[in-house]
Amino acid sequence: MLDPESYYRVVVQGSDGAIKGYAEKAQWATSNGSLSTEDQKRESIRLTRLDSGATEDVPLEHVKAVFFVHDFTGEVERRDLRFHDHLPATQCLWVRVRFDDGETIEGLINNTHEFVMGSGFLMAPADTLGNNWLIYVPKSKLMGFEVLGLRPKTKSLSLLDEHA
Amino acid sequence: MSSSLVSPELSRTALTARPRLLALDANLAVLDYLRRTLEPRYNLKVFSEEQALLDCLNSREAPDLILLEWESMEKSLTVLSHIRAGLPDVPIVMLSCTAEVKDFEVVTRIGARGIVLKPFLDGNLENAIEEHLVQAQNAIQAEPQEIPLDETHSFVRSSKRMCELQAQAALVAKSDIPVLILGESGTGKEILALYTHKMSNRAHRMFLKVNCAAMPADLLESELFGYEQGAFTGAVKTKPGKFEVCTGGTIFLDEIGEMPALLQAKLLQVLQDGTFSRLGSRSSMKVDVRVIAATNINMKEAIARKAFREDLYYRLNGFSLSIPPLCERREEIPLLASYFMRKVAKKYGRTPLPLSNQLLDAFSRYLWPGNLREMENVVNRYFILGDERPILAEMNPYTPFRGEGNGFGDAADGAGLKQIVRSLKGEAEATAIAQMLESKGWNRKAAASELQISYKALLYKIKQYDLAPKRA
Repeated sequence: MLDPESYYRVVVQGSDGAIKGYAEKAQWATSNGSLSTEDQKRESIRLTRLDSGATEDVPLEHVKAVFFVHDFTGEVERRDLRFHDHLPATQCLWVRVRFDDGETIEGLINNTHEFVMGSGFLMAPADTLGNNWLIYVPKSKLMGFEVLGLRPKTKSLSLLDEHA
Repeated sequence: MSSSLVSPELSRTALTARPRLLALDANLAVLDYLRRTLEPRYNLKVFSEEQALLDCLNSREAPDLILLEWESMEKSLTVLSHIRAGLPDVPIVMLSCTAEVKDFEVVTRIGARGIVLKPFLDGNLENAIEEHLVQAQNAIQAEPQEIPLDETHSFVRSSKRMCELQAQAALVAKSDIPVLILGESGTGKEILALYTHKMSNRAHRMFLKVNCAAMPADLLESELFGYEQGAFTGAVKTKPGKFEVCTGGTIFLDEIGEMPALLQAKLLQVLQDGTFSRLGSRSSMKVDVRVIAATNINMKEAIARKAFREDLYYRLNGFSLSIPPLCERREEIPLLASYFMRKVAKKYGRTPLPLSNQLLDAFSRYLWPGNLREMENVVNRYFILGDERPILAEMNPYTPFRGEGNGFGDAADGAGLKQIVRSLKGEAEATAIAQMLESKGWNRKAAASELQISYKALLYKIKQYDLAPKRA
């Protein structure tokens, strides 16, 4: 019997089914309550399978998500609660980016998945008195990225939409 | 040691020509931005420390507007309260990085006129400053204002209390939190709700009024939430409810205190997560509707009597606006009378009748228990009759209460039926008030509370009826 204090119950959900098991807490080391950088580059998860009791490394390459669960039975009938379904998302994110040369700039970016998925994103600087009215930020040059708030659409980003 | 950053002195001529603004922000780069952006138009002094700002406020004449950094409740509340207490009439605009609804509510209650979110984009700061300077100027001059809301309704005000109410409504309009409007019958709750809608981002969408006391529970439920075909006898086809029809807009629930308990639960659900289901439907649907509710009853008392759900009250009361009765803002009576006269004249395509000093004087002395609605009816009556004498007769104060007898004989001598009824009504009111005051040992506040009228209204009635404690 595994010690519940030392393990998480997890369900690794892939396109061809789910693997349920116990993942040792120690492998999810945290720094200041957040997942460490190492975890964000994780390629596999070591778990003790619920069905066979075997311990193995499950590759995460084709996995949809790893769900940390209260128990393995779950609520089949449960409909996910989403608080924001009936409202439109705020159009822009107010962000602070730090480049690898140390320069830090605040600006507004479109609130879409593209700034996560793409190789870069467009940003309208928060300092509207400066010479830059728009910046393309390649993500490969970023050392830091923080969301500061949600804001409505700004003119600089709207101009691009109009010319798209 | 103060570290205030004082802007370069400009010539006195230039200073007097521009509104005087003070700004406090700990971030020097933000202060520099404010100077570069605002100095061409305003006489601006910027401060990075609270004490330097407070010293300046103590030593010089009041500014036209103050810009205050809002960092957090802990760090910014004290200075806001301090300035508000010392300069209650100077508009304060908060500059905030966060858009926390709780903070928003607190700064509004304390008296900040507006919040501008950082970063400053697309002229949001300049627009807010201009808007509040204009409002403040109007308030200083007590300049009467008529704000047309639609073809037949205008928001009309001139008193300081109504100016403040207008500013609060304009501010809360920008958010989507529910608003509860309180006030006696006829004070203009629907107009204030419509004004709030017109000032909101939903202004171009529908404003829909539903009177919760005007129909039985079943009918109200089907009106608000709609029904499916076959939900009940007579439901021959599916009908969407007001909440569906009004999606994207504002729904005004008048007389919310009269809403049946069953519907209160359903309304609570809509307010909590925007979901509800039509009558006869097993699936729920979502809507995006802003709710403004109004009532003339004492909600706390209704909650105590279990007639109104406490959780719904707190959900509706995201922000409350309390409209004073007309007798507590008598300075607005001439303006309102003039507005109602022009309104009825326009309706009938005729020239407005003059409002003589005698008539306006009678209007100003009258108690207006029916508030603005009663005044509009009186003005309409005057317009139709074309003669102010019957109106002046109506406006005459009631026969003073003498404490004994029914006074019918006095009133009946040579008086018309209307005058007799009015006199009897006045005496009945005076008797009721006198009895209540006696039962409360002449504790006026307790009596006013029991009679469900304001303390000020009770004092007025005591004077009007010449009431005094009975001698033992």
